[in-house]
This record gives sequence, structure tokens and C-alpha cells, in this order.
Amino acid sequence: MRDKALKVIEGLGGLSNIKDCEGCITRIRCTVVDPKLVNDKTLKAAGAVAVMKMGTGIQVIIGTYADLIATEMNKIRKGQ
Amino acid sequence: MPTLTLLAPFTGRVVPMEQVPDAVFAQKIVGDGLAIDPSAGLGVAPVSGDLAVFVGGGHAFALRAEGLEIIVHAGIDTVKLEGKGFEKLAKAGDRVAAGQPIVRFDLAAIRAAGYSTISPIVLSNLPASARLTKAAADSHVRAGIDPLLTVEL
Repeated sequence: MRDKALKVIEGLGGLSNIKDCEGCITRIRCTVVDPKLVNDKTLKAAGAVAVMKMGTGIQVIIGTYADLIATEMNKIRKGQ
Repeated sequence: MPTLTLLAPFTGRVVPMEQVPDAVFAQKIVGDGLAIDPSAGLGVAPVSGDLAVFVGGGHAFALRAEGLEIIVHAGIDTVKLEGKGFEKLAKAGDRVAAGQPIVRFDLAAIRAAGYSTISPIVLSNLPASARLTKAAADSHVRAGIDPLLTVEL
């Protein structure tokens, strides 16, 4: 999960671009600083089937590992 | 050909997936299925299987049965309720029986928070060769009793 989490963080424009992040059943929902830094290709390489953008709200649809990946992302964000 | 019948996980009115007020579900990005607008706040297992995922807040779960993954999501955007109004009646990893209560939730609390109670049931890994039969739109289904979706694998 850590590898995937790191890849998703990269696809979202890096740690500094992520304001908050939570996992649902199939989606990682994030608020980003700059949506232009979000790279769909990187996210799809990490396993995303689709990326939805609504302003600074980004939803990465990635399947039922979404919650586990988001939990790992938040650990990385906290420096754990 | 094996046939898998998925029972309605909620009691309520059948809503076509295209009418779910959420683009990801409506466009079937995760998969095909149906939604129910529940008239009672109880979610049951649509089929016997493994409760593979049960999100922290209790508003969504995924079952695995016969190689299929079935996602049941109570309401829309309900992740933001952070579990408020949801009571888990089973836990991730449990082997559950069709009709077994999985989650109890407060429909009024979902509405009061401004979210839709429409609840999608999604087959996330349906093979292209499978045949899916759906209950009629607007029909009334009873949780754990009436068939909602039939899959011929």
C-alpha cells in the first residue's frame, strides 16, 4: 500500500499540493492547492480507473483499496 | 452457467444507476448495478459471501461472492458524516449470509446533513460476458427478500 500511496501522492502533485485527503469505498477524495499539478497519467499508473476534478476537489477512483491507500497517504503526510 | 441472485440490501424504491446524483456512480465508472432510495435505515447482505471491506464510518461495504465484488453504499457523499448516524452490525472479514443485517443508519440524519439517501449497489468487477438482469425501475423491494440483480456468469 505504501508504494501505491506514494504514487498517488506524486500524481496529486506531491505532498505540498495536498490539503486534505480521505478514503471512501472506491475513491480517494482530496482537496489540492493547485489542480493543474494533478497528473492523471501518474494516477492511472498507480491503479486509478478514473480521476474526477471539481475545482480543487479531486476524486481518484481506484477500487476497494481506496480507504487503505488513503490511510497510508495520511500517515505519510504526518511523517509516519 | 452459474447464476447469482443479489437480494435488495435495502427496503425501498428502485432507482436506475443513471439517476444517482453522483457522477462516478451515474456514469458507472466503478461498475453497473442499481440504486435504492431506502424507506428504512437498515442495510443487509445482498448475497452470502465475505465482507471484504467495511469503511470506517460504516456507510459503505464490499462483499465478495463467487469471484464477484459487490459494493453497497448507503447514501451519497455520506463519507463526510464520518460515521455519525451509522451503526455497524458486522465487521470486515466476517463471512455473512444473504439477508444478514450489516449496518443500521439514520435516514433523517443523512437528509438533515443535506445528502441524498439514494444508495447504489454496484458490481465492480463484472466480466464482460456476464448477463445482468435488473429489477424494474420504481418498483418497491424489501431488504433481504426481493431480488434486485441477477448475474449469469
